[in-house]
Formats: sequence, C-alpha cells, structure tokens
Amino acid sequence: MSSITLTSSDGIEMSVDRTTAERSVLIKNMLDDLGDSGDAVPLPNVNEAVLKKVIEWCEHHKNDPPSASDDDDNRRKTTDIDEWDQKFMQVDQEMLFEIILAANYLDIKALLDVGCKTVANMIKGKSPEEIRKTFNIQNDFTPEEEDQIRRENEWAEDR
Amino acid sequence: MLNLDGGIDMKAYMGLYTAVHNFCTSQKAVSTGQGLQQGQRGGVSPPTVGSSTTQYGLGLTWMQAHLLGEELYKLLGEYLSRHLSDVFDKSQTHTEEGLLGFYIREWERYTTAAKYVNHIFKYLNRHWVKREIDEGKKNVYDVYTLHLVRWKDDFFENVHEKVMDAVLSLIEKQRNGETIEQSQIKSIVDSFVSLGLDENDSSKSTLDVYRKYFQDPFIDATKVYYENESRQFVAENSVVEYMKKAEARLDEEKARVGLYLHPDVTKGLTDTCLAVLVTAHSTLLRDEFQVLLDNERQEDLARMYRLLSRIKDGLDPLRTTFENHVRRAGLAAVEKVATDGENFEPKLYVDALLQVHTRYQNLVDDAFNGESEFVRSLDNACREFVNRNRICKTSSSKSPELLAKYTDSLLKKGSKSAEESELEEMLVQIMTVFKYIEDKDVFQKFYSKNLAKRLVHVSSVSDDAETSMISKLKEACGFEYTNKLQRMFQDMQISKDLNNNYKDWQDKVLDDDDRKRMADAHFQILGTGFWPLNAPTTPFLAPPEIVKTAERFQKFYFDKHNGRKLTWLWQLCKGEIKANYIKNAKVPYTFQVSTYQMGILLLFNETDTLTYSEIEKATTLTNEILDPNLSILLKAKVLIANPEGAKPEPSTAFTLNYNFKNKKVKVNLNIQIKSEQKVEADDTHKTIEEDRKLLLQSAIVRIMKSRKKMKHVQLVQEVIQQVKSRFPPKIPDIKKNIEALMEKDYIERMDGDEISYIA
Amino acid sequence: MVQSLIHLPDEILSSILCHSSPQSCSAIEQTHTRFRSVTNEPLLWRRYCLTHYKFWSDYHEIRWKSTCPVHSVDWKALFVSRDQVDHSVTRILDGILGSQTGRIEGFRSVVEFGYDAKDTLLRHASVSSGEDVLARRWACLHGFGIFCPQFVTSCADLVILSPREKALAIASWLEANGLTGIDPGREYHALDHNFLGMALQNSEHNSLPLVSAVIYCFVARGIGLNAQPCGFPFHVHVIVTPQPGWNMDGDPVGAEKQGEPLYVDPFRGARETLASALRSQLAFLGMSPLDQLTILGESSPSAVALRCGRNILNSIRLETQHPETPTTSVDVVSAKYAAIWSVMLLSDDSRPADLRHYLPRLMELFAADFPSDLFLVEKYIVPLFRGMYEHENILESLHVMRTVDEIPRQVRRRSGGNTNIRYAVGQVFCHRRYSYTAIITGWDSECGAGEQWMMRMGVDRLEAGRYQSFYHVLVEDRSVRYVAEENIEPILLKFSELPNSLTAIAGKYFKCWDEKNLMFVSNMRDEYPDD
Repeated sequence: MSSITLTSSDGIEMSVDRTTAERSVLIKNMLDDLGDSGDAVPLPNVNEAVLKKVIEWCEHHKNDPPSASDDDDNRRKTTDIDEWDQKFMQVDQEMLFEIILAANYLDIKALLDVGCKTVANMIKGKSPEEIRKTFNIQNDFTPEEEDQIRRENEWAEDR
Repeated sequence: MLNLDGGIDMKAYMGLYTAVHNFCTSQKAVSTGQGLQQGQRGGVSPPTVGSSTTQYGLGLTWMQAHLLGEELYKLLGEYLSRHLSDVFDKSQTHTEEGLLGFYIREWERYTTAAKYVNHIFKYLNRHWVKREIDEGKKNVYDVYTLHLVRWKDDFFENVHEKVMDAVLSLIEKQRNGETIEQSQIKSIVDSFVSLGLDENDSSKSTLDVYRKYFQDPFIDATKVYYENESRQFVAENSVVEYMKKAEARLDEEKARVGLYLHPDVTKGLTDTCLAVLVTAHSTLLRDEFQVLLDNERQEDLARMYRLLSRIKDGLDPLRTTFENHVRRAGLAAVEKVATDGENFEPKLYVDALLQVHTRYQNLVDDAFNGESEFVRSLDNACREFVNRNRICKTSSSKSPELLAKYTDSLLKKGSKSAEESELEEMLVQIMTVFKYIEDKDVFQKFYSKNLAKRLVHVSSVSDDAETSMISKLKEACGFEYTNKLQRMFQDMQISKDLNNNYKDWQDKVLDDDDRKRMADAHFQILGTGFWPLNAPTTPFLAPPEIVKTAERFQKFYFDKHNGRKLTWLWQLCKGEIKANYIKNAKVPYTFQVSTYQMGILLLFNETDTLTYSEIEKATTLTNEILDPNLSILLKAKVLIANPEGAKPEPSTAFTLNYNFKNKKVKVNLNIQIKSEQKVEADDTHKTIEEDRKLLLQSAIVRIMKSRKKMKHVQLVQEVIQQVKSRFPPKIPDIKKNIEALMEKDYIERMDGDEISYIA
Repeated sequence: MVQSLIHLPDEILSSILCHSSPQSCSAIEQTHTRFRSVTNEPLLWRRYCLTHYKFWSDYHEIRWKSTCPVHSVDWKALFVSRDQVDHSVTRILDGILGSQTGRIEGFRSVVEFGYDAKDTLLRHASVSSGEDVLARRWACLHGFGIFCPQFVTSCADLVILSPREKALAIASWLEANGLTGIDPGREYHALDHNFLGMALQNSEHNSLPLVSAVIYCFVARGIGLNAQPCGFPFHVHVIVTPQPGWNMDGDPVGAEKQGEPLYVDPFRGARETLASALRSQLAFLGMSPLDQLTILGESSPSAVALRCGRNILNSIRLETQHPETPTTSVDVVSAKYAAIWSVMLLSDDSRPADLRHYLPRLMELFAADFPSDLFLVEKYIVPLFRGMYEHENILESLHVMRTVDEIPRQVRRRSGGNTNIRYAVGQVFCHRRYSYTAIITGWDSECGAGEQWMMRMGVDRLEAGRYQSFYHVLVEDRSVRYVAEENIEPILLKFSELPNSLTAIAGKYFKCWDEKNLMFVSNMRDEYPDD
C-alpha cells in the first residue's frame, strides 16, 4: 500500500496511507490530477495538532463506504453520532472548531458533518443565554434590538 | 494561473486551492472586526482580487461573503474570456483540416485545464455556487461547466461555421471514395456534444448544441450530395443498377454513424437518405415493377421490396400491380387447360391452379419477406381466378366440383398415386385450393357423394388418408362441415362389428340345412340423414334366395334394435354368382353383378328363355332400370336376344348363352351406366340450391332468436357474415328467405324497417 | 488564535443550523448579531418546513412552492404558521383527553385543519411513553378515522398517478416473489386479503384479485406501462394499454390508432388472458356487447374503491358465519365502518334502496364506536338522504348525540351513599355467569335501569336483588353492558395478558395501564373524581 507525506502549516511532515489521505477529497483530486510525485503535500491551512487529529479520524474511517454524495438531505436528518466519533469529538472547543475548519478545508464531508452535529448537540434545548455562556459569546445587541428579536422569536418558546 | 503547459507542482496546486479557500472564508475577518486578515492564516495571497480590509457594517456580513464568491466567479469568467479571445485570434490563421486540428488541440488543452481548475476552485463550487443554484439562480454554473459555457459563447460561436465547413468537406471527400482521418470528426462531435447544457439543471447535458450546429448542417449537406448523385446516376444507368447503388449508399451511411457520428443522428440521417434516394425516385422504381415481374427477376424484386418497404406507403401501389399480375397468370393457366375442350382431367385443372399459386407464394416468401399484405394480395388474386375463370364461366360451382372429383380420384383405389407421403402432400395441396373456393358447400356435396360411394363399395385407398382429409376439412371449416362425413365413417365401423355379431348369432341359431340355403352376405347399416343416398327409384322383387338371407338378418337386427326401420338400397347392392351351366370352362365363370342383374339372371335357373314381359313381371323393375341392365347382359353375351341383335323391348326374348366365353374367370358386369353419372351431377346441383335455402333460413332464425329485434339491413349483414364461410350468398336470396319465414310466422315486420322474432 | 462560534464562516454555521432544530436556530439568533443573517436564510427555513412536516393541506400548494426560487416564498413565516397549527392540535387533543364532554366539537376543530393536522396526530400516535399513552393513541387513531373517506379514494388515486417494461414479466416477477395471489389452503375471503397494506407487510403477501391487481398496476406504472385495473366479474384484471400508435409487441400500428390492450390476472399468475376468452365469459353471463365493452375497459378509482368496500363487507359477513376461522389482525369494526362509508359514498346515488340498506349499519357503528365522526355524517351522509323519510331520523339522532356530548357529567363521589361501592372504575373482571372479560367504566349505588329492563333481566331474582351496586362495563366485543356487583369476578392480569380486543378500545375511557394495581387508569375524573 502506497503512502504519502503530508506537511502541516508548521512544517511537520507526516506519512499516511494513500487511502487514508484520500478521505480528503482535496488530496484525492490533487493526486488524481498531478499523480503521486513522491513530494510532500503541503497543507498550509492545518497545523500539526489538528492534522494529527484529522488523520486519526481518517484512519478509523478509511474503509467506510463512500457517502451518498451530495444528497445531504438524508444525512442531515439525524443528529445521531456513532460512539467512536462522539469520543473522538470530546476535545476542547477550540480544537473542535479547528477540526471543523480543517474538515471544511480538506473537503472531508463526513468529518465536517460529525463536527457540525457535535456543535448542534451542544446547542440543543438551550436558551439564548445558556448558548452565550456555552460558547463565550458577548451580547452585542442594544436593549431595543434584543427586545425586538425576542418578540420575533416568541413562537419558539415552550408553551 | 492557468498555464498548464509547463505543468504544475503540488505546491502551486495546494497554494491555489488554499488561496481560493481563504478568500471565500475571509469574510469572518472583517465581520468580527478582529483584524484577522485574509491570507494571514495560510500565508498565501489570494489570487488577482485586490483584497479589501474595510470594516463592513454588521448587517452586511452576508452581503460581504456573497460578494466575495461572486467576485471570484466573475473574475474567473473574465479570465477565461480573455484566454478564448486569444485562441480565436490564433484560429484565424488556420483553414480546413488545419482548423480542425487546431480546434481539437485547443479543446483538449482547455478541457484538461478546466478539470484542474474545477478542483482548485472546489471550495467555490461547494459553497457559493451550490448556494446560488439552490436559491434558484440562473446562469451560475460549477467551475467546470463555466469553462464550457465560456468556450461556447466566446470561441465556439465565432468559429463553428468554419469548423463545420471543414468537417463537411472531409465527409464529402470520404463519400467520393477518398481516405480521411475519421478520428478528427469524432473529436469534433464529442466536443459539440459536451457543449450542450440543460438550461434547468446544469448538471445534466442535452444534445441541443450538437443538433443545431452539427447535425442540422450535416443532414443538409447529405441531402444536397445525394440529390445530385442520384439524379446523375439515374440519368446514366438502368433502374436495376440504381437500386443497387441506393442500397449500397444506405448501408454506407448506416455504417458511418457507427464510425464517427453520434447515434442520435441515426434517424434523421436515415430519413433524409431514404427521402432523397428512395422516395424521390419511387415512381421510377414502381414503373419497373411490372417489368421485373414479367421477367421473374426475383433478386431485383427483393431489392425493390427492401427499398420501398422503408418509405411510407412505398409498397401500396406494388400490391395492386402484383395482385393483377397473379390473377392474369391464373386466368391464362386455366385458359390453356380449357383449350383442350370440355373433357379434361380434373387433375389438369387443379394442377394448373396450384402451379400459379405455388410460383407466386414462393415469390412472396423469398422476395417480399412473406409480408402479410402481399400474402393478402396473393390470396385475393387466387380467390379471383379460382372462382371466376373460363371453366367456371357457366357455373361458379364448377371449381369445387372439379376439385372434389380430383380428390375422389386420389382417394379411390386403383389411382396411380402410390406412396402414402406423396398422397398426403397432394391432399395438402388440395386444401390450398379449397381455401380459395367460395362455394364450399358444393365441394361438400360432391365430396360426401364420392365418399359414400368409396365406403359402400369399399374402394377407399386407405382409412388413414380418408381420416386425414376429413380432419383437414374440419380444421378449415369446422365441426359442422364434416359432421356427416364423420358419421358415415363411423357407420362403416359399426357395420363391421354388427356383421361379426351376426356371424356368431348365426352359428348359434342355424342348423346345417339352413346354412346351405343361405347366401353368404355382408351388410352395411347406413344411418338415414347422414348419407347422401336415396331409396331405390324402382320396385324390385328380389329373388327368393336373397329375400331369405335378408329376412334372417332383419330378424337379427330387429332383435337388437327394436323399433328401427330398414330400407334396402338394392341399387347399391352387389354380389357374385357362379355360372355352373357353361360347360366349356374348366373353372366356372364368376359374374360380378348388381342385385338387379342377379334378379334377372337367377330367373334363368328355371328356364333357358324368357320374354321381356316375363322378366319385367318377375322382377317388377321399371323400364328405365331394366332396359340398360339387359343391354349390359346382351353386350357381354351372357344372354342372347331373340330376334338376334334386338334391343331390350317388349317384343324381345332372351336366351341363356351356354357358349359364353371370356378371357377372365371373373367377369364384371356391374358397370355404371353413363346416363346415371350425368343425372347424378345434375341432382347434386339441384340439392345444393335446396340446401342453401335451408342454410339461409336456419341462419335467419338463429340470429333472430338471439337478438329478438333487429333492422332488416342489419339482419342481412349478419346472415352474410354467418354463411359466407360456406358460399357467397346473394342478397335477393336472403330477402326471399326472410319473406318466406314471415309467411311461416317465425318472424314479423315491425315499424321502421325492424323485424321481430315470434317466440 | 481563539476560535469561537462567531468566528466560523457562514458555510459552517449554515451546516450546524441544518443539524439543529428550528427552536435552537431561533435561540442562536438571539445571542449575537453575527447570526442574524445566517439564521434567517430562506434555504434553511425551506428545509425546516419540508423535513418537519410531511403532510400539507392543498391550499399551501407546497409542491409548486418548493420548485419556485427560494426567495419568492416566506418560508420562515410558513414554518411558524405550521408550528402554531401543531400547537393548536396538541392543545385540542389534550382537551379531548382531559374531559368527557365536548369531544365532538374538539374533533371537528382538529379535522378543520385537514392534512395540516396529520403530522401532529401521527406524532402523538407514535408516543410510546407517558401516563396517558392509551388515551392519546386512541384519540389520534380516531382522528385518522376522519381521514378514512379521503383515504379510500386517495389510495386508488395513487394507483392512477404513478408512472416502465413488459407486462407479463412483472406478473411473473410478482408471482415468483409471492407478492400476488393467495397461498393454497388459505381462506380466500379472509379479511386480511382485502388490504393493500396487509398484503405488502405480511410475509406471505396474500391478497384478493383486486389487491393483486392494484399491486401489479403500481409496479407496472413504476416502469412506464399504462396499466389500469379492470373491473371484470369474479377477478379484477389489469388492462395494459399500449401507447397510441403502437401495439403491445412494440410494432407501430399507425398513428392515431389504438393498439389492442393486453389483459392480465396477476392473482392467477403470469399468463395473458385473451380478450376473446373474457368476452365469451361475459357473453355466457348474458351481457350485451355494449356492457361487455364497458366492463372490459378501465375502471375508475372510485369504482375500484367501491368494489374494495364491497369485498371487505363480504369478507366480514363470511367471517362472522365461520367464527372458527382464525381471527384476523385487522380491526374488524373499523374495517367494516370504513367499507360502509366507501360503499355509501361511492355507489350510484340513484339507488336509494342500497343506501337504506347500509344506513342502519352505519349509524349503529357510528353511534357505538365512532361518535367523533358526527360532523362527517352530517356533512356527507345527511345530504344523501335529502327528501327521504330517513333524513329527519338521522338529523334527530345526531342532535341527541350532540346534546349528550355537551351535557356536563353528573359528578359521582365516593361519599354519602356511595361508600359501599366495592370496585373502582378501571377494574378488569370476568362475568361470573357469562364469563366474558370486561372493564368497569362507571357505577350506580343501586340498579339505575328502568323497571321494564329489570323485569326482563330478572334483576329481582338475583341474590342481592336490585339494591346492590351496579356497574357500567365495556366488554371485549365492544358492547356496553350493565352488571350487578355479585356477578363481578375481578381478574388480575398483566397488560400483555389482556385480550387485544379489550386494550384496543380501552382508550376511549382510560389514560393508561396501572402496572402496580393491575387496572386501567380512569380518564373520566370529571364524572368519577374519586376513582
């Protein structure tokens, strides 16, 4: 099995199986287009820590059947996350966002979904104030704005 | 940026991808106001677009992101347009095949690049483009499609005419027999096809561009080419040669599709070629048809069929010509038979009919592919000449009569045909003619008469052949048609068993003395109503020997079947008598005689000479029967007339000839009398008229019984439907029979031309 | 660099919102101006609408809307309005469950929402926990009953709508997969065989010819054949008609001309039935050529639904004649009720004799088991009888039912004279003499029935006579009876051990099952507050 070398933004080289690396549509397309020259693949948007995490995920999922392409309606219906992924995502918030950004950049749909679902689960059932607390968001509304926006969203409150 | 000639390495590739990604996601930097500038994260500057670090209002963040994607997309499009305008400038220096080469090279280079760029701009595709499309925006495409759209609008629109001119001149060269580089055309076709985009869903492709810019001009050029070629060829060559040429050209064009065109062209191309090569010359071809038929040019006929069968209504005029031709051939063949006078063998006539049928049946099968419409034309023609020809001129029932006679000659013992398989073959042929016969009831009449004779006289060639024929008729006309024939056959079987039983019974009942006085006899019991036989036309006092035998059998029979009535058909009985009185023979002569003759001869056991009136009195036979029978005996010299040479008449006396001589020991005196045959045929025709009347009336009653009420016209129609399988009824006859039934109060006339059934 | 939710690009935020509930989306919007635009994207709200609600009333024109450019519809407003309907339906449902009175009016309100209420009802019907499971499920199922007449037609319509290759191949495929026909040895007329759903769900896939034909048509349409059910006597056949200008062998027959259709009896298997054979059968039955033509043509959806209704009634009639045949998993009463509806609504209204024949049966079932359909009877059945003497009678009985529904129940407390009532509402028991199983739904301290009834029933011959507690009970055969205390033998079974026939109907009076005390929990506290 051929392996390729990836270089993180901070210049660290990592060797991975080609099949693992090809979970990333970006890397797969590039290898298809250019052929494997043996050179290291530079990934200027992903640092070592995040890249390691991403490779770990790809390694675990390298034999998954290809996801049902762009038909994401079915995929998004459920917020269920499998057990391994749940554990995998038990990281601090910053790392979580970094993984999501990296998945988005590397074009790894399934990982991006897991990340987004994880965030969605963190939001689930929380009030606006609780959400601010969870994600450390500063309220930047003026009182008038806040009042108006609450009235607009009254329908969603528990009755 | 799109300079792929020098190749691109991973670093550059990743750099470009990252630049696009960062550019598209850069809005977060401005919107959150934290001064994160795009490009910082990845360290790669965004392409071409001058980046803006202006602070946007908070409400505008989306617009910002939106604008970024749009700007990038727009710039990419503009870049492509510039590139393509360069390409167009360069293309101006090329013409003809050179232009094709140039187009193909640039196309391949461009689409390869498009694939790369599409991947590099994947992020733009995934988000901005996808979103625009989801929102229902028109004219936004993924980056690869954008390449195709730009190529079409900015380059293709300007060059397609020149490119097509080059393509068409290449194809014309090939049609003229030169060798060309086909792969070039194939590449052009592929390129044109790729440019077709579905307006509603850019992920799907359509053939619109290819059809409009390739197919249409190609078909137009094809049309012009073949119009010219065929006009010229027809002027210089025969029709037969032209047909070969046209067929070859059609095949060639069909092959062309497979070689380098898109399959979508097939129908249009074929239609055009057929229109120009066949339809345009169809009158010319059809005019040749009669000539080909006359000369029996089967191969050319087949070719003409193939060509004309491919155009709309191409064959219809041929069918009429064919039908007339076959009819004329049939009539001519019958004419030939008839020239030999009235007395031809039925076989000759049937063979003539068959020969014509077979010849044209083969032609239909081989040249016309057995096509059902031609089969119908053949059937029409055969029906015509079988039922209406010179021999049938006097009566349409002549054909069935002759066919029935021929059948009888085949099935009767002593005919020349021998082999069973051969016989079967001939029966099949008879059925071929039978199929065309309109007066099927006439055939039935004659056939059943003949069958009756064959059975009564035990002169069938074989039971198998008889059953085979009956089952063929049954298949053709149904159970009802052959019902009586089958019953006749059954009666023979039953009679056989009965005679065996009779023998057993005799063994038990009779003593030796009885037996000595009995004539050895075989009896046939024929059911009244099934057999086309009539009771004797003359009274007959049977000789005592026979009476005794007959009475004994009658006793046996009535024991078994109480209440039945037996009528002796003396005119059909026959027997053998031994002439022990002739001394000059070593072995006594045996005379095969009819019962009437037996009755006459046995009288001479008592005396050697009898007068006419004595015989007449003793036998009670009428003159019409007695006279010819005596004539036969005189002619055979069994009896001698007194005065010598006198005819049988009241003044004549008859003396037994003791010096009778014959080469054979068995002498057949039971000869059918000429006048009988003639009378028989006339009788048959007469009964046919009667039967038809009955058939019509029963049909009318049947119909009215089920429909209760019906318009007169409708009733007539329905009757024709029901009886036409037997004979073609005449409308006045139907009307006459409707009237007759009204008189008998089966049906009555209502208001408004309606007829009603009286239960 | 610190990453937070507000720093994520819009694309990712959108994706997160897609995985979130509309309520979460609304909560996020209220946290920071950053989310203002991304939480209000029409694309997002269109998705919420289409994934949260499957059934839409016709006036929404939802199919048409979803193909329009996304900005031309206010999807968020649409979602909010559906959300409000959802809340209303739930509230009404709670109202129906909370009180014995005014149910008819409640059901009417639910049904006025039409298909917009269906999602909500479905959701409540599938709830599997909570203290009032039974009652909730019962109410929801009755809500569905309301859709019944529409369902019968829409089922057949489905058959007409759906859009492939060779007719006989399908028949043999269906036969090979056992999807059509009835296995040998099964009772032909079994009620189960009447239902498309049952035929498809059961592993044996037994079905009557009509249902087999419908299954066939559906598959055939799926592959583009023009297949229609044909109402031939004895066995419903399928007519497969070729495209105009073509025959069934795919040969052209000339433009404008219609090729000969092909007849199949999917119930029997993969053979073509010759049109001539069908015709001669009809002729044998004494039909005129014109009648034959009609019968051999395609049947309308309503004709198919009507025949289906008749089949069901026929099966039920036979089943009651042969009680030894295995009982069916179908709710016989509901099936009968639905079938009578379809027969009455779809048959020719020119035949009042038929209508009269079915009316008493419908009214009986309606009054006993489906009183919540009152306004449906009012709307569809009453007009059928306009001008007939039954008209007044129906109106009268509807009036009575309505009045009864609205009278507040007399409150019966267990105090004063009522302290000696031994058994409570919700008690399951076995009748000492007739040994049927039933549930107590109410009580009187002494026999409250009329003198005549008591005479006829011989109440005074009972050991304790008329002055003992009497109980209103609901029997497993759905009948309602009045039983003396001395005849009640309480039984203590687990829920799963109770007869299905009993648990299916208990929801009308009870909220759920009390596993500890092994009895039903009353939903009639307004009448019996202490039980």
